Amino acid sequence: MIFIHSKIKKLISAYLDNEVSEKEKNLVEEHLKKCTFCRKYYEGLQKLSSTLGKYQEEELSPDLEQRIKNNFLGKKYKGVAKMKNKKLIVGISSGALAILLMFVFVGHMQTYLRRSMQGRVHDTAMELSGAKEYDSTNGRVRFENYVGGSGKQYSSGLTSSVQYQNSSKKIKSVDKEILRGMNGSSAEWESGGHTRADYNKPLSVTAIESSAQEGPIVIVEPYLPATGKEDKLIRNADATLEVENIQKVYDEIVKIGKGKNGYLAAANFNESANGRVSAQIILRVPKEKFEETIDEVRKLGQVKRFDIKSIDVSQDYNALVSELNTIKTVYDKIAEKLKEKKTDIQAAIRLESELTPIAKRIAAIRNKISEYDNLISVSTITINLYEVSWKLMIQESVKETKQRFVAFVSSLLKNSITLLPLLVIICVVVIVCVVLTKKLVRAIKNIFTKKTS
Amino acid sequence: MMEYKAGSVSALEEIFQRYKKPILNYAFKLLSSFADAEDVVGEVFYILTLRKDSYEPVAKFSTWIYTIAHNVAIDRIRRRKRIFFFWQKKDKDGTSYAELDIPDTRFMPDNDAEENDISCYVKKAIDKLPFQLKEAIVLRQYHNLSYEEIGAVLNCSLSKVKILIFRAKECLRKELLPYMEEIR
Repeated sequence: MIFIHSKIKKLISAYLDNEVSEKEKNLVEEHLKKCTFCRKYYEGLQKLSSTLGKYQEEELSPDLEQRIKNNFLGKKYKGVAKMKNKKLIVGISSGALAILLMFVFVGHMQTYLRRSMQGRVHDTAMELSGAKEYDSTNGRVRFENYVGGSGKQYSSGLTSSVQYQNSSKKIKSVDKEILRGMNGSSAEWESGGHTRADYNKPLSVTAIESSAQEGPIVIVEPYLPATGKEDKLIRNADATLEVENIQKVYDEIVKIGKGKNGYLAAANFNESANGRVSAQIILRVPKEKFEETIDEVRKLGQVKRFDIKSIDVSQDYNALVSELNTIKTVYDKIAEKLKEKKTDIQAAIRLESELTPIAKRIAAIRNKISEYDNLISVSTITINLYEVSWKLMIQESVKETKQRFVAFVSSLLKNSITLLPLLVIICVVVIVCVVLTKKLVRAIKNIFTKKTS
Repeated sequence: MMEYKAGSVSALEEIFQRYKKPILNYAFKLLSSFADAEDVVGEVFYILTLRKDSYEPVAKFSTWIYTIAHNVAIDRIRRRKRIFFFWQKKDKDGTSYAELDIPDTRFMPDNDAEENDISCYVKKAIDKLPFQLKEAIVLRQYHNLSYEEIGAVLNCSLSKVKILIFRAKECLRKELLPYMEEIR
């Protein structure tokens, strides 16, 4: 019974709108005569229909009507079309801009990260080592310790070098190992059977971190130490800094030099064809103030490269001093013989002729020693300065972005070509699925429509 | 429309005069915003001028123009949803989100004078209807479209139109019951 009422209710709604078949009309009318409940419902719906009709109608405002007429009917102004075109243009341009910005951002971020990583690595290296080399061009950092030795540069002093990629964390551990190796007198470097006892032979150790499969390969190349407090070291530093204002930094360097009882040995300013201003300043400071000066110079700008070299000339120096002493003894003996006046004139002339080259040699050795003394007591710091140029940075950024974009597109193309057969299969499957689903839905709909009618 | 298609501008003027009000009211009832409804009128007539060549007199012209209005209104609602996404506020319990209600104050019942004005209750009841039911009942009740024509506008079958209208009437009846004893 309830089922009949609910069905009739649905029919009453359509009956009121005159949207029922003749059969349904008769059915409703028959039922309404019998059923008071449904009749009441019918009357309620009738009232509802008249009530809904009370809804006040709206009128188009006259000015808008005129505007619509002008805009769309007169075709004088295609507001919507313009708006749509504008939206399209805005959409496309903003999309292109977003992509461009993304590439610029990615390029810039990578450059920034590389620089900051280099900075971190450099700081770590500065903490741990007395001397270091910094190579910003290939993203590698190399630092060197050079303490003592037999005289020749890099030949037999202790040099530890760390080549480093990707992560700054690893440096500390490796460097600690180097230091441990340096300090422990009985420590052995674990490569090729070489030991610390092989004093004059360079020894290389290659430590590859087995756990770091994805990243850093750290290579340690130490050379054996030679040392002593009386070592004669010539210490030089070579720094490359990126600064905002070269003139200001130049003034600061001069100030630092004066403050450390040093002097400005040379200064050279240059402006390249692409507009980048650079300068090379050579500062000389007493060896006691060397570290302090370096620390202060580092703070003047962004360090791009820093290279400190200590050349041990002890052996040469000591050899010169020994030679000088020996020759001096010989010279003194000959001079004494001359003074004794026992020698005849011929012998005296011969002795004099022997003395002349000895005296020359003594003068040469003294010159060399005083040159060494000068180089040892006063260290040389060469500072290369580059001004930060926004124009250049943008140029570099754009270049990098272009390269990245080309790489991205080419990789995309490569991948698409590789995945093309798969994509074709997927497309075919999707199309077939869509067509089948549509057909199925249509068939089901038709079945239901037939049933209801 | 065929005259306009042939090139008569006065025919378009006539179409405009005949349909501007129905389209405005149809859009207003669907969107509950007079400004949006006015925009819809403009857009509908613009689309009409654009697609005049694609018009074929297979069905009544009113069906065609209401179909355009229906599509434009749906497009508006989609856009509005995108805007509302940024305007959403949290419910008191903080769990769900509800769209900000921007009421049309012209239809707010005045406490003194228009409390008994049934028109505003009808409007509120229609506003509360789900979109499809609202469309069906509006096209039937206020624009006198047949069920078949409504089916063509809404792109659905006749039986579905019947159900939609029945459900819309049921909802409206329930909504308006407190104000009208006679429809109980």
